[in-house]
Amino acid sequence: MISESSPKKKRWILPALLVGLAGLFLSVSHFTGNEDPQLIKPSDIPIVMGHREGCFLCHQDMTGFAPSHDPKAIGCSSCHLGNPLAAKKEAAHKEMVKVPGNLDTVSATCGQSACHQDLTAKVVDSLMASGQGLVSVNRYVFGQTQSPDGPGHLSHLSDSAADTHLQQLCVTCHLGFPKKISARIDQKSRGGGCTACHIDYTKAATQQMADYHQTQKLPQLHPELNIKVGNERCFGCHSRSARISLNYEGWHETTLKLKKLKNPEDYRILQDRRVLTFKGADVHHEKGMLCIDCHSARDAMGDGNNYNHQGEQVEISCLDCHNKNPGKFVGYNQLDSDSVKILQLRNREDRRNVEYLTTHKTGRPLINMTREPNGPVKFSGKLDHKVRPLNAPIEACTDMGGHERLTCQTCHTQWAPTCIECHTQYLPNKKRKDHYTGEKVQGVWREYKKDFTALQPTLGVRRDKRSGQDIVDTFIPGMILTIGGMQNNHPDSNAPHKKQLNRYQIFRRMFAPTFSHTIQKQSRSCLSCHKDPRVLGLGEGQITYGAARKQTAEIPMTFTPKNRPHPADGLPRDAWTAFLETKTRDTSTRTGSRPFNRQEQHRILLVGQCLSCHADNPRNTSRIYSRFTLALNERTPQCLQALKRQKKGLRQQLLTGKKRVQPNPEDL
Amino acid sequence: MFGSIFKFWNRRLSTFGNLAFAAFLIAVVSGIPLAIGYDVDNPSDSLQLLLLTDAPGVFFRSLHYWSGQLFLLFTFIHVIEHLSEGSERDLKKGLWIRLVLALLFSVFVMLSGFVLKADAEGRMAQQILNGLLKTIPLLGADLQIVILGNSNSLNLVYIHHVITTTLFIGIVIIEHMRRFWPELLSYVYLAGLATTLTVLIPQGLQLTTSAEIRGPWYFIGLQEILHWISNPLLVVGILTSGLMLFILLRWVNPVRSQKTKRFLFAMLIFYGILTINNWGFRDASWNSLFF
Repeated sequence: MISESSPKKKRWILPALLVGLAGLFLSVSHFTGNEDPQLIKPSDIPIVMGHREGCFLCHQDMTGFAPSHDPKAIGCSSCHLGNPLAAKKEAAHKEMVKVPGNLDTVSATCGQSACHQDLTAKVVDSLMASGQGLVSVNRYVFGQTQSPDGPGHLSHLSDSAADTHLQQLCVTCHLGFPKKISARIDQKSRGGGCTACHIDYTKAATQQMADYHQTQKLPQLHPELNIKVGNERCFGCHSRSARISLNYEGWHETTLKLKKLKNPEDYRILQDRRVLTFKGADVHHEKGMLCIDCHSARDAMGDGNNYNHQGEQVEISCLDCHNKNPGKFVGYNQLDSDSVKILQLRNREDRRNVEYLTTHKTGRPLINMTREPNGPVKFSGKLDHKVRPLNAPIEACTDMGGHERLTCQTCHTQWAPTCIECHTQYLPNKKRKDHYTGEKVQGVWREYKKDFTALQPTLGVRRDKRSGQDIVDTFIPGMILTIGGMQNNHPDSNAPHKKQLNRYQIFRRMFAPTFSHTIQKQSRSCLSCHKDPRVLGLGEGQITYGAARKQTAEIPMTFTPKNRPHPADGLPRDAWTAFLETKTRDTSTRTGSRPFNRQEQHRILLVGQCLSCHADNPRNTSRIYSRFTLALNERTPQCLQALKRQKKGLRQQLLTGKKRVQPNPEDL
Repeated sequence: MFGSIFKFWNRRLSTFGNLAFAAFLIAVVSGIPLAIGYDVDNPSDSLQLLLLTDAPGVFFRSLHYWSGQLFLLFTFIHVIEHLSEGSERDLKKGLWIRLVLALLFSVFVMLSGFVLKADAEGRMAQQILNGLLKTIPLLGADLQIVILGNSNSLNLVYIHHVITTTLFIGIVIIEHMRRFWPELLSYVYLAGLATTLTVLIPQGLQLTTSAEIRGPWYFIGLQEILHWISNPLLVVGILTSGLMLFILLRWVNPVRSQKTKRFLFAMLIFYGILTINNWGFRDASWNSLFF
């Protein structure tokens, strides 16, 4: 029989008793360790979000919340998790999240189904979280992939050379980097998911949190969660890389060392000891506009679509505001739910009777660009609600022949941070703290910068992915760099000057399209494009024109670079492309972007030659730009005489061995 | 293979039948204070207040939970033990049918306890049960009213959990064991094991609904089957066929019985694989690592 007892079981009575006693002991300790819950009345524990919130037993005095995140409405556990149904501290705080909003836990906190589920799902895949462009460009530069586009997520990096490089130097800025300590957002803040932008500490709350970190005394003042995203919340991350936060405020990062500064009061010093000098702010900053006044929530947090690079995700463009013929408008009832919610949070519900402008790129509404039915378009600041005038572009911007492909920033960008040469070196024997994991790792990537200057950006051609058209845009040297110290061979076996190249292992000369956020009303001059070799991507130097012949378009030109050639490819160190040559490989960190080709260079320089004398005469410039071939054929004797005078200078250069290039008539 | 394992166990420790009986009695006793404090009209809130204000209540609730889980686990093992020895043939036919029904009731008493939590998991389980019962042709609606009641109230579920199923299971166990109490040793083992689990893994409530919610361990395989087979009637049909096969074991000849047992055991293993796949290898989006 199965249930029959065996005499041998008597031996097991003692162990059985021990098991029973262990259970009894644990039970006793369970009860003795308990606080006195019998004193708690049900009325002490409010019901929030459909359940009892036991957190109030200890934390009922916490203040400082915005209405939408008041614990009386959503409780504490909605954000901080833990167990709101436990009366004991240890049990209540089990699995508590001290810093909610980090993306690794966001699906249970901010992104739970009752709160911001749709929004956080977009954020997790947005570029600020994934850094997809950063990852794919870095892998491309390291020769790991064949394209600067492609999949990649900063939270899922491998241990390849490219990925460890990112892991050590770049990864902390992305939203997925978990914030471990609660603190006010400052210049050194990195990551933290939702709280990277939406946490707002008052002075008192900052002090109380600082005290808590030192004394463990629980703060009574909670930071506010809100959408009042001021520029300081963008600054920590966006003062790096392209440094748009610095540029926007007019600050240029120098390579000066704080310790060696003789007059530090002339500079701005950041918390991380970087030294800045003032170069001129963006006109929008001067007018008091914030980052969020142009950049919508979709720009920042993603719209649910997958983009390779930030430029593709950004939906705002200059023409949305500065346009004689504004885009389409939608009514309040046609707004998407996110836009309505944002309007409610900004107390702009009074705006039910106005129409909202939609963007040219995506047709989605801009909630701070409105008009009364059939009235003029008004722009209002998202935080200060101040209405600012919108100026339409002047005729020269819209009607200038030959310049249809130019973006607004091509002419209106004042300067851009430019680093013409840097070196990244892998030091296998050094150790370094990994930013992401906090652990010490063997092998260190180190960057060595050279000159870092504020210059007008280089111009080049970018393919707009939405329209498929080539447009002229601003570029900076995204990469003129060497990468050394790796064991693997350089992937580009057909590269020129391979002998020298092997010494560096990897050499890249790629420019990146940029919107440097240094816009001014005053545009750059005609000559600053048409006669400046650096702006054309040739590097600093001198263009010299030879004598022209009547009835032909032939004008010989030479270029004398200022900087010595780089041993890896023979181009001047600050150049993007060679003089009157077409560069086809390794041009840019973006697919479809390239420097001006031979034909384009020649056309621009030829026009530059004419502008030397005619730049100040609008009638002449209009003729030159609109019908250049005709203008060439109608040159006056004075014009040809003036060109002849240049011949002497050119001959001198030819005697010293500089390059003379005869233009191809087809280029015209 | 099973025979030697069970023999080894039974010589040294309590039999699984005794352990299951002890677990059942501990579950019944620990359930009494819970049944008294439970508010059927406001079930979730009454349990939440119990968790926050009543430390002994928290203990008894957790003890009730764990003794219940152990009861079901040891009952399953006890059944496998019987079938592996072929001892089901020693049972009278009527008792065999009552035992199989008691086995069904045991699963139901566990499920009804899960539903009575009235938290996110409980509500979801209630919906799934309702949905499954509804699909049964002709009898579905009536069965739903008889088992779960015809409203969202948990009144009937509470009555079945506390009285109907508990009484039936208790009577059948006593009839089967031919004794009112299991041996003392099994009590000591069970009490020790259950209280240890009670204190180390206390039972809370699942407040929020999320994609990661799973049913109780014995229910997860069914969730996985429902994921693969979109027609619930087919699932009900498969389960009923399995049950009929199980009942018929007492009547078929020994050779066929052995084959049927092997088939049922293979199904049990498959159910276990489905359970493991669902439990351990499905992410929040319900994607499986394997299949």
